Amino acid sequence: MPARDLVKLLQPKSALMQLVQARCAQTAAATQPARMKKFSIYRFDPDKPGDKPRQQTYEVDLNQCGPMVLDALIKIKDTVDPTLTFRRSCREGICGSCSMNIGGENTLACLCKINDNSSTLKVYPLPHMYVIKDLVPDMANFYAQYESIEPYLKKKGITEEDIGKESYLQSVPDRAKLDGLYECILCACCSTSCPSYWWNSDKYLGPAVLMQAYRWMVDSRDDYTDERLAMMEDSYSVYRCHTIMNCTKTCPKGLNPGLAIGEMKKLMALYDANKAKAKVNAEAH
Amino acid sequence: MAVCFRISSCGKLLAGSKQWMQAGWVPAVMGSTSAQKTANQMDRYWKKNRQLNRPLSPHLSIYKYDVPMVLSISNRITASAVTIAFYLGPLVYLFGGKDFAGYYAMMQSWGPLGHTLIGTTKFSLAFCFSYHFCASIRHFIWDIGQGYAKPQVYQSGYAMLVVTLLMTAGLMYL
Repeated sequence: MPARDLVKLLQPKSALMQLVQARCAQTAAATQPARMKKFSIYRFDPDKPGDKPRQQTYEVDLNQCGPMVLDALIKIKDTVDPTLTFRRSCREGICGSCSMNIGGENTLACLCKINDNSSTLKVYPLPHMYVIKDLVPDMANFYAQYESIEPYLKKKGITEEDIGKESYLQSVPDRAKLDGLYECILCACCSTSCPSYWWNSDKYLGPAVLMQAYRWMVDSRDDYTDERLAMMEDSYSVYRCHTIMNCTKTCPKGLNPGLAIGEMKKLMALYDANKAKAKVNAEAH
Repeated sequence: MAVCFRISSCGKLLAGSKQWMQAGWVPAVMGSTSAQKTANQMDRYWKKNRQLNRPLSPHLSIYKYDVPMVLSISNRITASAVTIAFYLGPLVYLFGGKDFAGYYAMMQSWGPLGHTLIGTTKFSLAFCFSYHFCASIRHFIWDIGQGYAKPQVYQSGYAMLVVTLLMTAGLMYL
């Protein structure tokens, strides 16, 4: 047959395509029996006066749903209950929006595979955070703490004209020091898994922020290492860490905040605190 | 300085001072303006959440208890147990009438109940002391900067438990 006739067969309305579509639908419908999984999800509605937080159970057919918990949440929101509220964006574990407590552990919903056993999967918002609605916590304190450590490059003795003239060079071993630190997506899974942060979230900075503080201390291009260390000289910012190590266990990106805090504590023991304090005071005046 | 920041944050340019737009510009006063700003943000956070009476998401009741977390809180619990025993012992001596041999004989005279009481006290004190001792050594290893990798945390935890049980057994024989 000439090519033109063959192509006509592939048109959507051709008899061949109708047959193929019908067969595919039959196969899909007949293939698997429904695999139902129960999800027990934390609900709270601030617009309903006097509403108390409660658990609501939904059932999802895993054969009609993607493999991750976020897929199930979206399916529930689309088909069962449109009022279910949660944060999400990239669906690939890089933005940090969908962090929540799944099955007792803090992780990203888009990276957490649904365990298809028969038990109910419990989904809660990040622990010990003020709840805005359903699975959405108030992250403002976390972000303010991050901003307070000044997470940007600071150099001494440069003027406005110098900026942008040339790149700040860094050796390969110095750049390697940042590996395992810069990949943090600030999802707050680690900080909200730390019991010490639960009890002291107003003054203790938490593993996520402390790891980023360490990231800037250890960056060879940054000139303010001593001043950054001096900023931590009180009994709450760093020293509420008791090496519980929940942070490292729960990090969905496989990072190690516990190690970063341990190394920072070592730095704080070994740097010259008086000289640093003098430097800070000199800058202030 | 702080005034400068607040005005610029409203989006209005001060004549000649476009510094805040350039990346990498360091405020001359290190720390104080950003510290003030973030302190204000945190203040607003606490005020707002308390005023709106928002619920706190559950924590202890829902978080999964696994080996490292339980080992850590047990370290704190055994620490307090040992401390209480440390202070209670001399107080008992001070205000009670007998010495150690006297108390021991008194408990033995209570028959089987006394023996179990002696055994339980001995075991719990030996265990608490050994556990806290081994957990503290694990903490010292962390202080050097070693043993932070995830598998190492579990390995050191299990090793610590084994040594604790051996040490308890050893102390029980005394």
